[in-house]
Amino acid sequence: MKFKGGYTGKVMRINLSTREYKIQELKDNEIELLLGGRGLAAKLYYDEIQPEIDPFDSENKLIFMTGPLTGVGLPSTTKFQLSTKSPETGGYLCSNCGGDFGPQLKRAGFDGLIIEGVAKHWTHITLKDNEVSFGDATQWQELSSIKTLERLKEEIDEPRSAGLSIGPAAERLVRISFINVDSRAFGRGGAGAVLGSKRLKGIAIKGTGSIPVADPERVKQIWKDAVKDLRTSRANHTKYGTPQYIEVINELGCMPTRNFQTTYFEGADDVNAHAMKARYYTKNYHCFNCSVGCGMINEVKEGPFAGTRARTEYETIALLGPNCGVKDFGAIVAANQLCDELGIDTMSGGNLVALTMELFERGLITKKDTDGIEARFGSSKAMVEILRLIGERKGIGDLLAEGIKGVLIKHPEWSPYILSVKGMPFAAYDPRGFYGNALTYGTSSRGACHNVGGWTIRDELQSGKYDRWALEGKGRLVKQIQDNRGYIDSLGICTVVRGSMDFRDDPQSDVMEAVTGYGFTPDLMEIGARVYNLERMILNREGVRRQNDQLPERIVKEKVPSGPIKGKFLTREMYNEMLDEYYRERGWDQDGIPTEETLKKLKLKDLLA
Amino acid sequence: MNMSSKEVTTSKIKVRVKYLSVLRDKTDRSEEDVEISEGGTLADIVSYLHGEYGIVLPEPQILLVLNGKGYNQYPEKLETKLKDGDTILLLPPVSGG
Repeated sequence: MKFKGGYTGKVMRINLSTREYKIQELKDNEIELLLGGRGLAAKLYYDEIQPEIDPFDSENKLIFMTGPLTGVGLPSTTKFQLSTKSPETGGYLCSNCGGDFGPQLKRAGFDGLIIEGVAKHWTHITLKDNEVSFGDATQWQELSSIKTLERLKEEIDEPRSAGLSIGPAAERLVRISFINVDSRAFGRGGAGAVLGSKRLKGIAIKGTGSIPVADPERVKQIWKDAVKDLRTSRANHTKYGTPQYIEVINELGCMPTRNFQTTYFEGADDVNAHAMKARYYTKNYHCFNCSVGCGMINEVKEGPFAGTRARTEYETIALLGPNCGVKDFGAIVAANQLCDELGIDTMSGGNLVALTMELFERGLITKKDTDGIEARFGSSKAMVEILRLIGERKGIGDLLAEGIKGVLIKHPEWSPYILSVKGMPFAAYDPRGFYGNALTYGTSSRGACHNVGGWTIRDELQSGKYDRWALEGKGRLVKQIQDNRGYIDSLGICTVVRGSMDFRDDPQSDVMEAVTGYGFTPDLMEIGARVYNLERMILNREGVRRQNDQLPERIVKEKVPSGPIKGKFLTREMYNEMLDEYYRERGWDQDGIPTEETLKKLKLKDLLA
Repeated sequence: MNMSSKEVTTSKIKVRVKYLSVLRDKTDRSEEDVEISEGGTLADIVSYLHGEYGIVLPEPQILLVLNGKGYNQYPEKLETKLKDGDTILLLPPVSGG
C-alpha cells in the first residue's frame, strides 16, 4: 500500500455461522477518499448491508473500523468506529467508541474487524494477533457486561488485553442495548442487541505488533506539543469532565427537564459538577494514550444507593436526572451502574423513563402498566426501577425495550410526548435553546444525535457570527460541523483533543504526513463531506427523505413555559427554512437527496460504481 | 455589591452575575448582584471582575454571556449598555464530546 504508516491495510472477517475467518485487503483509493474509521465503515455498510435486511437478520453485520491515528503514539488516539443496522432505529447506525480495543485491534494487525453470521450457541471470541478462537459462552448468559469483560480477560490471559461485551439486556434483544468496551461504550442505537442476535457475548483481543508511522521523530514532537497544549486547553475536562456542562446548559436554558416539557431544572445544583466533586468523585478515568482523563468515576457513599459506582457523563446525568425530574446524584450513579450491568444506553434509557413518567402523570398509563411503580417525575426509585424493567423486559419494560420507535408504532397517540428523530431519542439539549441544534437533530445520519449531527452550541454562543435564535446561516454552520466530525470520526482520535493537533475546519497536513506519509489535506473537510454524503445515500436507500428529517411535535408546537428562555419557540415553518438552507449547502434536492452533480463532485459516483 | 462610591446621586441598576462551573472556583460564589450606575456597560462589569477577583476579560478560556448571548454577538460588544435585571454568565468555553 502507498501509506508508510497508520494503516495495516487489512481487515479481519469472522463468520459466526461457519466459524471461518479470513483476512482481506483494503484498497488505497478507498482510504484516500474515505480516510478510515467512520468513512470506511460506511463504505463497507453500503456494499454489504442491504436496505431490506432486518437488524436481527443473520445478514446484518457489525463492522468495526479504526482510523489511521488509532493506537498511534499521539494523545487519545483511542477511537474506533462501528457501523451496523440499528435495532433501535431500524436504519443505518454509525457509532464511535474509546477504550483500548481499537488500539489493540491495530496492534493485532488489522484496521478493521467484521462480524457476520449467527453462532449456533452462545459464543465468545478470542483474537490474538491473527489467531481466532471460539469459546463456549453458554455459562455466561445473564452475566453483566462488566462481569463478561472480566471473564474475557481471564480467558485471553494476556497483560493489557482489551475486550468488548454485552449484558443480559442484549441477550433479550432489548433494542437500546450497548456494547461495553472496557467501560467505554458503543452506546446509542442498540448495537449490543445485534451482538445478542448473533449469540456473541464478547470478544477479547490482544495485539503484540507495533504500529508503524512514517516519521517517528516528528510524531514524538507532535505528541509533546499536544500534551503541553492539553494541560491548559483541557484543564477543565481533567478537573470536572463533561459534568461541568450541567450548570452551563441549565443556565443557558436548554436542559431537558421532565421529558423536555421545559428547559430549566430547579434542582441542578444537586447534580452539577460541584456536587459530584464534593460528594461522589473518586478518580479520573483515562482512555488509551490520553493525558486529559475526562472520565469521572463516582461512588455513592451513603443513602439508599450506597456502594454503587459508575463513570458518569453529562448526557447521562441530564437525561436520567433533570429529564426525569430527579435531583439525587446518588440515584443517577446507581442508575448508571445498573445500565452498565444490564448493558443498556443511559441516554435512550433516560428518555424512555421520562416518557413513562409523563404518561403516568397524565393518566395515560397506571400502576397496572408499571408493575406497581408510582412513576412520577422526581422519583429516584421509579427511575431506577423502570430501567430495570426495560433491561429485564418485564411489565411496561417489554414495550419500552422495543425502543422509542417501537413504542410510537404501537402507540401513535403518544406522539405529543415522544422526543425523537428517525427513531433515536433526543440527546441532552433542548433545540428550542439553540436553533442550530434543531437542525443537528433533524439531519444527523443516525437520528437525534448531538455528535454525529454537529454540536452547534459553541459556535452559536461564542463565535460572534451566529445568533442562537437566528435561522439564517444555520444550514451552513451545521454542514461545516458535521463535515469536521465526519473526518475526525474517520481519523481515530477523540474529539476532546482534536484542537491540540489542529484538526479544526482548516486542518494542516503536518500530523497526517508524520503518521501516514501522505498529506490528505487540504481535503480532510472534503473527506468529511464525502462521508456524510455516503451516509445520506445509505439513508436514502433505506427510505429516508425530507419528512424523516422533521422534528417531533413538542419542539415545533410548544413554547418553552419557564426558565431563562421562557416563551421561546420554533415552528415547523421556521425549521424548514433552516432545512432548505442546509439542503442547498449540501447540494441535495428539496427531498434531501444528493444531486448527481454533488455525487460527482465528491467522487462518490466513481467510488460506488 | 456596590461598585460605585463617587456618584452617590446617580441612579443605580442591579445586574445578576453568575459564575458557572470552573469560574465558581475563581470567585468562590455561584452568583451575586452587582450594582452599577445607570447607563453602565459590560465594560463596567469587566472592571469589577478584575478588581474583585483578578479575572481579566476578554480571555478565550472564559465566556461572557449577556442575557443568553455571547457578548461578542452584541454590536457594541463590551460597550453594550446594561439594564436593571440583566443576567450575565461567566462560563468556560463549551465543546461537544
